[in-house]
Amino acid sequence: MNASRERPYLPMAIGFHLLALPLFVAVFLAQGGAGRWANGLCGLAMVAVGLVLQRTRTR
Amino acid sequence: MTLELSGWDWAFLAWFLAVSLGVGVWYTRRAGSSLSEYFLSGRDLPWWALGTSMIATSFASDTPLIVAGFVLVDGVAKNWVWWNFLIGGTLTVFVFSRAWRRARLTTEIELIARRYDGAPARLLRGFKAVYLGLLLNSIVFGWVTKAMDKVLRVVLPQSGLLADSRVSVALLVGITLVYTALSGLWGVVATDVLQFAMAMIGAVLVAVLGVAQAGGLTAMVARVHEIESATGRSFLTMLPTTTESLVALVLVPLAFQWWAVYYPGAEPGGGGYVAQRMFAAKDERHARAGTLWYIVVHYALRPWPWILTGLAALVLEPRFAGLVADGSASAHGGAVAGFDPESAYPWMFRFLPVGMLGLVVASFFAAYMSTITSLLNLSASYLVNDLWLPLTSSAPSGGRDAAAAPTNPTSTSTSTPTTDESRRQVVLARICVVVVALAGCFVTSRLPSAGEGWTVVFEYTAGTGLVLLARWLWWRVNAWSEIAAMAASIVLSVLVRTSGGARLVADLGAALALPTAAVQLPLVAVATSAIWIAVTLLTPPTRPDHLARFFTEVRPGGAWGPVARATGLAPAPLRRDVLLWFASTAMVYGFLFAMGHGLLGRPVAAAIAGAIGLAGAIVVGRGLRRACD
Repeated sequence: MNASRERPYLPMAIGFHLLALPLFVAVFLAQGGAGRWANGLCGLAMVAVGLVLQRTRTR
Repeated sequence: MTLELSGWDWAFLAWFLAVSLGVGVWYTRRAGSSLSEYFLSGRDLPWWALGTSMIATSFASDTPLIVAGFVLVDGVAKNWVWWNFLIGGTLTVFVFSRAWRRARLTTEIELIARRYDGAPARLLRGFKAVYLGLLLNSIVFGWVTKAMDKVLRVVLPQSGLLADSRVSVALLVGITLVYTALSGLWGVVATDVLQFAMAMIGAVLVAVLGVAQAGGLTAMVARVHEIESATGRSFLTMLPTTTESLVALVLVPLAFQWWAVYYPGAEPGGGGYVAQRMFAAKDERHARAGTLWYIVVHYALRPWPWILTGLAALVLEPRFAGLVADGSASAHGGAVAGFDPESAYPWMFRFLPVGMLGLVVASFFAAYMSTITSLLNLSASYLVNDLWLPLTSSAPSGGRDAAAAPTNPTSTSTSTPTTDESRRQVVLARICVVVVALAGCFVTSRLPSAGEGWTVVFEYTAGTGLVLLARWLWWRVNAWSEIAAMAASIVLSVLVRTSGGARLVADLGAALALPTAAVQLPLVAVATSAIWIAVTLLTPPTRPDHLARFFTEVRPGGAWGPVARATGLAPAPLRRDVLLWFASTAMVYGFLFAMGHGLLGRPVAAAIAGAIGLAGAIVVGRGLRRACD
């Protein structure tokens, strides 16, 4: 059994981490509190999902 | 109106495309091993991945524009035109999902070979492979691409190569095509999960900043109430306030639409990409749970950011309220006098600061890409599995039951050994993905607008749904039933548009005091159903041994008397499934309206709807636990 079969969700996890980056950058670019909070929370949610997927293995 | 993308916006867009491409291409090797891997992810998908993939696929680039436009013109209640499909969705989850998964099919169309026999079945299967794979899905490809083009026109630069939206769309299609062709369903599902997250983030950002710009939720709702008083229209109610609208928007769709219309993603009994995801599930439980996850998020959670954005647009642009007041944007009518309600959503982009505009445009890319990747993979599966393989199969009679035969590589489990033959079949599948993309681009170039494509699909499939439900529940349905339903639906849809037909519909509408649209669908649906039932009874049933094999493998419920007696097996009991169907429908409608009432500042109504949703959830939870035991 190869690595991708054991952890087929790893690319998704990496994708979530990578897509969180622009959201954190956008926190600094946002002009108002609503934008900063929305971007920050969305970025954290992406990282959290990425971490869960990173640890998930197939049965 | 155009907005200028900054360097940060372009960087975020490029980053998103690179990540999507990278994640998709990662699965190339695995997808290339067999058709089972390429079209079904080796039947190894967990519920959350297949369910999220369905949600992402149904979230196209036009969806936020349409929903915000509905709200702007006819209020929140206009969404009943698609909320009614929930009844069909929960029916699929609780009555049909296990049967689909048990049948171990590769495509929805393959069911024809499993369920019916003889030349009519072969003809129907081949025809549907071309009809769904090349025609219908190309029209869907065309309408979502047209919508993507509409969004791009708002944000593209005024000069340079990318100023031409066709070049930008071609680039987007090209990138998507590369990873879709290489990575099969694994790549499609993995990128769908990512892209759904991205698409929802974009929707939330637009809604949050739009509502903030409108003074916050409370101030926005108060301003909408003022507009309601000034215009005499209702924007915030969950049900239409006039009898005419109630019948046209709610009662007729609830009575007919969900079972009659073959709408992509809401096929009666399940079909298309919903069925493909169920086939790709690890087992029946994952198939059912994933489809339920899709239904809950699709109906109860996802629309609210778009609805809030539509309401914010109504408040923020006095021109929109003025157009509603003077009747330029009329009820049930959509756009007249140069007013396009769907332009309201992109209009809200002006409140997005540098960087966030790029993220929101990336979210539209995500919505678009996740839809067309599924369409391309699905269409290719029809062409390979239901057209090419039966034609080239060595099975008797040019492939009778070819799909059901154990030699069919796509119908076997993931343990199928990798062979040169299966690798060649994957190459063929990849070629088909490219062919379908080219067909989609051709249809896009010929389609006048996104709405035109939607109308064609919606109207010319009206009436075909009932037979798709009945084939699981009544042994007597045969291939001629489906052929008759498809032919009757198309012919009747054309007839009601001729001068005589239109007059008949108008007269009937006048006699019943109903708008034409509320008469046309029931008329076509009932007439089509009468025709296919008559044809069924006038033509011979499927051969007993063929039916017995299907019944033994799938164990459907319903009226299977002679087949059940011949096999000595009882049909699956439907009582509990039907109870769960009702309970889950109450659950999702409850949560949908609890969320809406809560956001719009009506706590008592939100609590009542939430309690209904919770009661439904308890019944569903208990039912699912018993099913597991």
